Amino acid sequence: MSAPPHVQASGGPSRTGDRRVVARCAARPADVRTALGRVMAGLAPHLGDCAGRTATELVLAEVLNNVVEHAHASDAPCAIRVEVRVREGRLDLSVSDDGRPMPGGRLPEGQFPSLAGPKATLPEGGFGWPLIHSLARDVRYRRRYGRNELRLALCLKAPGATTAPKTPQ
Amino acid sequence: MELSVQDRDGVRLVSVAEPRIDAFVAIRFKDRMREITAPDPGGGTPGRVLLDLGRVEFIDSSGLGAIVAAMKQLDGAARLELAALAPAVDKVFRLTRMDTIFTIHDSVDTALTGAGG
Repeated sequence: MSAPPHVQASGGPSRTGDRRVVARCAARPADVRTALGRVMAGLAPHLGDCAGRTATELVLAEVLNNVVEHAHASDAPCAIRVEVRVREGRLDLSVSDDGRPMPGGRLPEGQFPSLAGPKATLPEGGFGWPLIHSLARDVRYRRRYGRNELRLALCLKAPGATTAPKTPQ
Repeated sequence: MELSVQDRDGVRLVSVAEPRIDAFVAIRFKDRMREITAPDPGGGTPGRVLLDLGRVEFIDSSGLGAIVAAMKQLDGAARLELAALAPAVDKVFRLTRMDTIFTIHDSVDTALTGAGG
């Protein structure tokens, strides 16, 4: 399968034994979707069906969507760079882009929007950052050399919440 | 955005025929849902719309927002219910608490027969 012109991906084991996947893409929804698919395909042998797989795809999708929607990164083929490392049950994600800095130079809040109130006032957005914060840890942002850099980690070993045996009745 | 529509037992059943409802298709999904749930030429509106998500493997917050928007654009008392959520889709609804807003059925069949779920 050949990559579209604005999506590149590569990966493989490093000397230290951890698994690394790198992808670059333009900040456009179609390219981001393709890049996400390539990263997940690259990670598939290392993630399998573990509980962290779903969280990884969701967190990465939210991070990339935020770049497209808010940072207005350029249409350059390498506007967004994604790097994922998997080692010992831990996944480290690093995403950088050449778009505008985060407002105030800091990460947005992680509170889910309120669902109280009538149907007409239900929120249709504002879920992205709270989802990222609730699934990932060590979420860090910095602006460096004119690029946004976001780093976070995901635990791939399912915590008790999803795998705990059912209490006997 | 591939959506198939059929009316069954007074319910407008909308099946998503694609594996993803994400930022790439969210606006098209919302627009298609608006067409599908608009009042008929005769003035009748579907009182109950059932969204079959059985073939959807992934949804992000944009897709979730589009489903909320589809519910909000329904006429008056009409309801949007959901069926057959895959684990990854269910997870997004639970994390955002949207599972408390929508009626969610295990399957299309249980939704149509009212047999729990």
